[in-house]
Amino acid sequence: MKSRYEAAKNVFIDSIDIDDYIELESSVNAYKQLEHSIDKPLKMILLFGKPGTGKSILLNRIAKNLKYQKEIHYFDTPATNTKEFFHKLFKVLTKKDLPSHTEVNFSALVNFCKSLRGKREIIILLDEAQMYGPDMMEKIRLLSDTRAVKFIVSLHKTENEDLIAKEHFQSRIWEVIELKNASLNDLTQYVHKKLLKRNLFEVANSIQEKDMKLMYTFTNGNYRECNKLLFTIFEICEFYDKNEPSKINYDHIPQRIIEMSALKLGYIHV
Amino acid sequence: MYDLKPLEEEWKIYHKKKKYPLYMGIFSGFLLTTAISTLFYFDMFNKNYLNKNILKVETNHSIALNYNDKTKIEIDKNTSNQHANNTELNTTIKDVENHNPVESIVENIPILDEGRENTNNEKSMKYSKKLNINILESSSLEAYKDVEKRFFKSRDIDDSLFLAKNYYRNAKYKKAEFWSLQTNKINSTIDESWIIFAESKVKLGQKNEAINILTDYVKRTGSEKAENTLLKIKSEK
Repeated sequence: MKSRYEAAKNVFIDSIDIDDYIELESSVNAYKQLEHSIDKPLKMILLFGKPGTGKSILLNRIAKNLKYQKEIHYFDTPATNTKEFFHKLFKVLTKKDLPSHTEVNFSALVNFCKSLRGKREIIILLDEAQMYGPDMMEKIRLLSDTRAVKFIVSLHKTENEDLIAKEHFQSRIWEVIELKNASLNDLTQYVHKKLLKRNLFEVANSIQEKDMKLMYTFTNGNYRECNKLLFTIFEICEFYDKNEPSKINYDHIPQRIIEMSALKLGYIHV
Repeated sequence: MYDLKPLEEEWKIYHKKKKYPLYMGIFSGFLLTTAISTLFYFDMFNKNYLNKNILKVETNHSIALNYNDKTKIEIDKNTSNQHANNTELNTTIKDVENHNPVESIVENIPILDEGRENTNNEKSMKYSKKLNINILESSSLEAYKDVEKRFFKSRDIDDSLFLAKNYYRNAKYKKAEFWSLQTNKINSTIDESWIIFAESKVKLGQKNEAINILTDYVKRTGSEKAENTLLKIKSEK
């Protein structure tokens, strides 16, 4: 028989699936802020925060919701080199594939973008932009100056990346949106809503307030870490459910299992 | 699936280490309590010892008084050296009166006992209060009602969508229609909610209305899921 914990475990597989998006007060605010910023005549928007704060899913969601209203393109994986990036960009701008054995002339591309000003407004969402090199970022900046292409740049928040954001683009980026880790209340809602969405009512009820507090101390409110922790918790629960049912309590998740998961993931050490 | 034994062992070690501060706290508390109790005991012992000594002194004085009384009688009888004996008797009485504060210390002991009784009573009261815990049980239906109540306060679409899905699954199509409508009012871009709304309408015999609603929605959003459902509804007889 399939364990109820197997379904619960799968809820917390870390993936960028818009259908799994959970609306929380903080995420709704970030979404509205980004949507509002897109409507402003800005050249660049910087979206930054620690890994696992929901930047990618926010970009995905905005791309999906505005695809019928705006010319919006989501670049999820960063291009490994300038050539590949301009191939992608060429396709977006000209709606044609670049002929084989040819390369994009950057000056010509800038001129082409200038010719589009006032006719088209193209929005490009660049995820994981910290992986683009300084040269490529400089070219992106020049393209944004044409005002035909608007870039929304998503970065991880580290000291170096702050430097990129503050020094390199200081004069261009007019709007900065920072995503932060969740509060305890947000994280509780996130977990419960995720489980309710899959009709795992009993499992959601078995996670009590004190369990959430413990999980919050381990994950510091990071959604990705929380997904990892809950996945491991339910994996252990599933194992006990199938092999040693006496070690599991269906009314609530034992603190022992939460601590075992934290040990496994390295949040705590012996 | 991995073997959990090593992880369990690791957790046992962690748990033991985690408990060290607690054990140390309990041990320190125990030591502190013992030290305080010992000090208190010695204090009480000293006081009792003093009381006993004072009482002994008092008793000696009483004996002296009796002895002196007898002496007095004898003196009276003998009618000689009367003044000297009277002086001695007065001194003895004064001595006894001067030791009255000792009696007040002795009287304090029962008051301490009363205090202890009160503490015991309080403990028993606390215990009896603990027994008055009400255990409530809730069934799924009650839980749905809780979610409904919560929705009217929070207007949270996850709650309304949850109710719509579950009522639809339980063949309560009127309720499913109502809750999906609530969801659509708040957020009009959720495919799943529109699909439940339309399918509930079909189940309630309003197929044409369901088709019109879904057609509008597909035009507005281009949703593939909704389009598939629309085709399914149209193909059903």
